[in-house]
Amino acid sequence: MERISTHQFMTLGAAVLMGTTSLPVASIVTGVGGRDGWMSVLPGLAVGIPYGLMVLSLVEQYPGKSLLQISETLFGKWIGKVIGIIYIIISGYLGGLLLGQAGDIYQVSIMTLTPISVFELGGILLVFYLVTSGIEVLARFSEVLFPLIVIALLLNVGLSIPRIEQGELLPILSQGLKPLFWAGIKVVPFAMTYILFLAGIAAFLPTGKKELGQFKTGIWRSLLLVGILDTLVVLMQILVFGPAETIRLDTDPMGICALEEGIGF
Amino acid sequence: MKSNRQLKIGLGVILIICILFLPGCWGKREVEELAPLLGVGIDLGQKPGTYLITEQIAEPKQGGATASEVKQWTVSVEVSSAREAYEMVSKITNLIPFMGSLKVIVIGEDAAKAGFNDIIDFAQRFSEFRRSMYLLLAKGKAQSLLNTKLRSGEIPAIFLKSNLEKGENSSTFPIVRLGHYLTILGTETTAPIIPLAKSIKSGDEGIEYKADEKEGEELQLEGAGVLKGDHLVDFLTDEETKGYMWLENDVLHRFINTVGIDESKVNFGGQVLKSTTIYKVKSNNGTMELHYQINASIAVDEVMGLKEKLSDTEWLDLLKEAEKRFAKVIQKECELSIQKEKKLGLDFLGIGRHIEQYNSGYWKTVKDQWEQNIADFPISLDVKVTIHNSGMSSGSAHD
Amino acid sequence: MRGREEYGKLANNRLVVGQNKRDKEGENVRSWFKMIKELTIRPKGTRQIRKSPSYSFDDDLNKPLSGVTVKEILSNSSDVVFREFFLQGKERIPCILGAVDGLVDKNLLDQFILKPLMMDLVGHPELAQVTLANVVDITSQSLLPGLEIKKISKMREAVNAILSGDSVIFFGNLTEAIVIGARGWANRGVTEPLTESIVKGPREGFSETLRTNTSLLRRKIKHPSLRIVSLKLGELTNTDLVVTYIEKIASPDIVSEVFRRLGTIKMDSMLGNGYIEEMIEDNPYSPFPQISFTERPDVLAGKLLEGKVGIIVDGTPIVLVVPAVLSQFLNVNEDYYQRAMVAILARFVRYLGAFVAIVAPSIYISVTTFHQEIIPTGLLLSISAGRQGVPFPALLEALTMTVVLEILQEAGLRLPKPIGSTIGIVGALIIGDAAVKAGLVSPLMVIIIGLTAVASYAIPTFDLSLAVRLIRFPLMILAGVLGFFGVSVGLYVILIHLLGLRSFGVPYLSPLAPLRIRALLQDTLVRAPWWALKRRPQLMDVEEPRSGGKGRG
Repeated sequence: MERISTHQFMTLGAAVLMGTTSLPVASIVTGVGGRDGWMSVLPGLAVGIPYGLMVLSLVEQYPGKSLLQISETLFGKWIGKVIGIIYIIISGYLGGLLLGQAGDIYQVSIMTLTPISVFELGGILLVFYLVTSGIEVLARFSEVLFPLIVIALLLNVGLSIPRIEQGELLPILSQGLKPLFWAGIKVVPFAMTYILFLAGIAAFLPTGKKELGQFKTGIWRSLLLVGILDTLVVLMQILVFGPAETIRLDTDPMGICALEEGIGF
Repeated sequence: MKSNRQLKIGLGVILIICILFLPGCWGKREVEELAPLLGVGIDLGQKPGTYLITEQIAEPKQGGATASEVKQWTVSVEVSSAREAYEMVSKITNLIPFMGSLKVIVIGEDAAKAGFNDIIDFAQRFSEFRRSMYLLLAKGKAQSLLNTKLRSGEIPAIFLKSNLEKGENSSTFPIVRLGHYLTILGTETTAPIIPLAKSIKSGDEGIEYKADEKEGEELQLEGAGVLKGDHLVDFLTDEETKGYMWLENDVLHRFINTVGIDESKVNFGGQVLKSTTIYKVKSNNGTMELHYQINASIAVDEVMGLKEKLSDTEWLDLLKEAEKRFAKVIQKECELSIQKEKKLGLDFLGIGRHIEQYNSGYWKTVKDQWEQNIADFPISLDVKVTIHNSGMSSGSAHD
Repeated sequence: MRGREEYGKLANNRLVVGQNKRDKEGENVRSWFKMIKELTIRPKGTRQIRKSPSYSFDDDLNKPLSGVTVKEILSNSSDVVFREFFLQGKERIPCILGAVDGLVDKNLLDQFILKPLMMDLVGHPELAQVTLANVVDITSQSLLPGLEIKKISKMREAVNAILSGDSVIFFGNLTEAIVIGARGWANRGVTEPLTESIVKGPREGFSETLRTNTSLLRRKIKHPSLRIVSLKLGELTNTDLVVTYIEKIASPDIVSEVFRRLGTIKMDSMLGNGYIEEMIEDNPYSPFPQISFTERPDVLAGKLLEGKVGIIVDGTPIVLVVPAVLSQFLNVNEDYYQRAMVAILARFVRYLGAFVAIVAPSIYISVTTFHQEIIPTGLLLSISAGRQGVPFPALLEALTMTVVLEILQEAGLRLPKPIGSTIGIVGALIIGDAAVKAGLVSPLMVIIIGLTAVASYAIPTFDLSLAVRLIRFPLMILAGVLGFFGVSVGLYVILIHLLGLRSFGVPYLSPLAPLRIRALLQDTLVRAPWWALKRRPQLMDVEEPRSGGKGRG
């Protein structure tokens, strides 16, 4: 069985988290936290850290076992199986949701007349190809792709700068901390999908003492990295569109905005 | 391993079959089948509840390589929804109307007064449109504006777009993109403002040209309209619009002169190199007030009415004088704008937002009766001009 | 009815189907499948193809050596010469000297073998002691001058030696003979290679003679650790080949894997590097080259010093180098001879060129047929104006033009030089001007195709630019069907494929993935100056260097 390196572990986790959060997060946190929503992204994601460490300690105790095997040893055969089934259902549901969202965004904003099933089929085929190629390829895939995602995001943010509206970020904390708290709660599920994913790849993690230590830093690094990038994205969307429009716009408004500026309409 | 390979081959075959047999519709359209829309005009229709939508469409012809040589084709249809207009236009052309190239939406005076958000909802919802489209008000009908035959031979929509885009060089009118308009609407307290376009007959406003049916007319961008929500309330004059530009910190470069500001014989003209406006909400003896601090740097490139030769110190004094007089001009423009805001009771200057930004606690107390409060809300203004240079010569030409 | 075992035998003759006409239908279908399978799936283990027929002398070859039999076996060929003479020692010994005319240095044989033995040494005390029993030892030890002299005792060795250009002296009916290395045939000499021309650097290139090539390599690396191991492949061609590497620098896993894979090849002929390449590469279904080649000794030496293994085949100037990673196909030796800053720019241009060559036509297609929104209005109008009256959809237009481009390239490639340039001019006129004027293609399309062609010439390695040309077509079709979505799916598939590739155990995209930051910054997208290249590139992440292993081979 192949193992993945610490760097791959970090990028894989960060890519998963980035992929699930970067598009919807602005609309979600601004909807609850208003103008200050951007501040709640990082704390919301940070909630995932202790859970991530918990998963790692499981890996430490049951090296080389998958989550299903671990839960079977811990809770006995039947409860373990039930937990496993629940886990599979939740993962399948989230994966499907993600695929559907991506397809929806593509259909709504880019190719309106193409049936959404085509995008979904394409996505499924890609995922299938990736999965049959093995965990090693999956890890390398994230390693190559994650820097590209980051560059694309930074490009989006950078190119949108000319569209910044005056003073959209102010006033800061006019509503107090309460909305921030609720917005943070809205972010937590994203961190939890990351934990789910982490549990899924548990069996492929190396089990040496040294590596586990590095994985611990890997967890908070990827959460921190994604948290910062997401905060940047939310911040930029509020700056460019104002809170009301940020909540209202469904798709990837900043990408389109950056495209317009970049190509120079 | 083996079954895996077979599965892969199977998937590959399915994929190839899909690729070979599925193309067709799916939004595929060749670029020459499109009728690129350049400008849209919105007026009220004859029947109540309808709009007269004018679509200006480019007709690329072989050989006409650049946009300026493109022929245009303008048609107006009376419809009750934007999609209906799309359908009507589709019926009379062999091409597919294409919205992605749309640059300017011109809203006629009557439509603006009646409200237009319903009809431009299509423009912010349909995926082909961009939030970077420009919004313009037309004095009179948008239809006649887009049907104007320009003397330069350009297509009115393209002319308006490029004229708007170079607008920041003179900073006399705001440049409003659809996205900006929607964002302003989202604030709920600030009144949107949209620049105004009108056609100029020879002799109007001191502009003269050889008027001739064949030659065509000229279009001018000047002033702006203030909206309450999506309803046009009033037009701003040129000076009021300029004041708005100062107060909004939107001035990049401006051409400015001091003629007529007071009795002085010596007058100056110049270009604003840089200008910043700083907002402060401060309490003045218990009442809150908004304070504008405008800092402008001006290069003097025109000195008029200078009769005698000046020594160096006198020249410096004169430039000091010029600073004050330029400040006066700016002050006057801003005050006109503020007066208009108070008169209309509409916060197009975004004062409410400024208060919210810099003192959100106080804002909560005045928020609810804001529209009534605007007229009485104290606003102070301080303009500071520095002369950056005085062109390529000191002294006057009579020396 | 034929037995199943016979099927296997017949399969080698690739005539299975024709001989099965009378068989039952089911059997027939199965044989069809078998044929398809044999044509598409590379066998694991031994790769036995094109068995050579059996000859009457096959048995003789394994027998003890005999000069007369050798003469009989070879007597039907007019180029093989047998010179019979007597050696006057203590006894009078009948000798036969066998050699191939044209392959041996006649002058050397005359002056230093025949002349001493027949004339100069007559009466020499050593020669006087010679009897049939000790003739081989005495002649080789003290009578024959010459550097390469070897004793042999097998028929096969004797025949091989003669046919490879050595000459053999048989003594009477003895079962031992002496091989004299006196090869000397006409060769091209050391000239500048055509495929890898450079501005600043050495000009010599490999030639078709194995020994010349090894000598060129040895001149670059004068150290005992340079290993040059000889092998022979091809039952009929008996081609010499050499595996070369530097001990302790090349990973022993890779070296042994090279030998293992070469060992699986069983075929009758070996006329060029391509024969080996397809037999030993990891993934036979990939368009990407997994084995790099060079014609230059300096490049080979550089690669060996990075820990790679070279395979030099007699009869071709192309030397194979394994393992290969993608980035190395975009680097050229001149990068290391130029200053680092210049090299960085050149590499950047190459990577950009490769990217443009892959995606330019497909982006044009998807933008003009699906995503007109992202074209700035002015450009949209001019594209639209250019396409007025063009009868084909953009996809077909692009495909046609690309195919025309391919035809032009292929046509110009093999023509003699003077005609070749005419093809270029005619082609340019046809594509560039006349087609646009006739309204068959739009001017922008011509620009795109021209850009693509020029960009693909920026790829320095021929193999990689072929791969790029190959994957351009599916991408164009995907673009024509699904726009950017199709293109991105295509690019993802290519990326995943590349990530799964391994060349002799080394991940194909390393050091990018798996990431080795030092190697990446040192000598991949950029080249650090020589004083910064402190470590050897650590791209050898060898894991199970087995073909078809994990990560799809």
